[in-house]
Amino acid sequence: MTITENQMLKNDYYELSDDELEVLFIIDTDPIMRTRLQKISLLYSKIFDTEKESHGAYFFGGYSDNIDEASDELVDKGIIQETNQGYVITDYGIKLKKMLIEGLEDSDDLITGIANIKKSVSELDDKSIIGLTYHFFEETTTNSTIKASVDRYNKRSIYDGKSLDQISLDEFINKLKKGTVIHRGG
Amino acid sequence: MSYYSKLVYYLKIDILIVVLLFSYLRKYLFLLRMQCNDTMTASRKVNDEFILKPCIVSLIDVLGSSELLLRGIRQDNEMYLRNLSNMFKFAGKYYPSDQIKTFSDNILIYDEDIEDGDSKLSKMVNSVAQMQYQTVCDLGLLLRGAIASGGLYHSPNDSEFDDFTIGDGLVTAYNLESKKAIHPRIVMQDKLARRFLNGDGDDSLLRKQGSVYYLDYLQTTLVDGFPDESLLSNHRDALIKHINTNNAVEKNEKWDAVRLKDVWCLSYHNDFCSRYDAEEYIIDYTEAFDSKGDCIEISVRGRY
Repeated sequence: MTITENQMLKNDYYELSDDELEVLFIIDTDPIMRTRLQKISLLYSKIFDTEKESHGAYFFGGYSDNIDEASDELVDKGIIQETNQGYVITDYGIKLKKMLIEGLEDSDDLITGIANIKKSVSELDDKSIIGLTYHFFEETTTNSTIKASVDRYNKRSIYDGKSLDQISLDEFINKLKKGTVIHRGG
Repeated sequence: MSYYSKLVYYLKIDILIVVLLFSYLRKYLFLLRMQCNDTMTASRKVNDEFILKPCIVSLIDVLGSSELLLRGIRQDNEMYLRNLSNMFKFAGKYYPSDQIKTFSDNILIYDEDIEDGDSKLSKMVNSVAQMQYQTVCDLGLLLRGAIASGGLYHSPNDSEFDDFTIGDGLVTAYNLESKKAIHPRIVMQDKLARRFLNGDGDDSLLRKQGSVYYLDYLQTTLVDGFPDESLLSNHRDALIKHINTNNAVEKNEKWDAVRLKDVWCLSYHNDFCSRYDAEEYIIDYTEAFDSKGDCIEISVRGRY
């Protein structure tokens, strides 16, 4: 018996896990590499999901196995696809996302929170995002093999005219919560 | 015999003759068809067996082999042969054995260049770059080679002659390796490099020196654009050990050529460290006459 697309949408609407929802709301029509996905997810968890220690200190900084598995699940379900440029949402995924945005209640943090974080870092390249997570969430970098390199990179990094030492964690988090675009340089 | 009977009699004979003729004709046509099939099959077999297939070809030469082997020091030979064997095993991590041919200190790796050639080209560039890094760090061996595209014939594993490999792709790679590479680097045929850079592959793996594209193999030490310092440190230590080993051997008329290769490697390493803000891994060295004033040696300065 063939399942119609509407039936599939309904199934996925109800069956997506929290991690899968998180990944779905991070990924869009512009490709996003795995690292960037992980770091945005890390920022989301540090701001909105502080009770859940979702990201461990791995060889390349903060990383979540759950987010990785969720991404693979979404690829298997045809909701996102992985290309050489990174993950991108499929047409089916777009329809599902629209259904979810209309239907999810009490999910401001998930939908709006992620949207604001993405907007905030939209002008930054992957290296800058990595640098910021290493600076502000050092506990996730204890096992990193690139920590020294990232620290050197951070020492000469300027964001909105300030060095990282001049930006407090609260200031950084507020920008992410409000969706204030962060610029590298002056 | 009545007229009617005669008519029937001769008619039967005619029918018999026609039936016989028809059956012979059928047999003849059958045999003819069989013969045609055999000819076509034989021809197809010849065509399948001996054609040059479009391939991406990497030809790599391990440097320093002849000097070491001609010195004839047994211990050195044993270690060298072990290292060479390990290097061939590195290739085996990326490609099956029927896509690898080895002869003396050369290794040939090839892959069919099919319509979806970009992923195969990407794989070749990535694999060879990884191999080059591993060979320097784990085995202390410098490589020189070339990656090219062109026709290649390789004998199947069950053929009478093993490792019969030939083609314009191999010739192109050989010419590039022997005439253009010069230094311990793996160069790429121009048109293949342009194809790689225009495709989805990692652009950063190719670097240009003058008009020559070559593999920037230290890019394999990067993670998300940042050097993995343990990997860079390994490379630094391996190069220093290699320099010191070369300094310890008796110099002959080929020494300057050896030294120039080592200087290129040091320059490449240092340039990479500068590019990626890893100055603390730069190797500080000088070139000066040895104590006897016979030849110029490379001296590594500082404590490592």
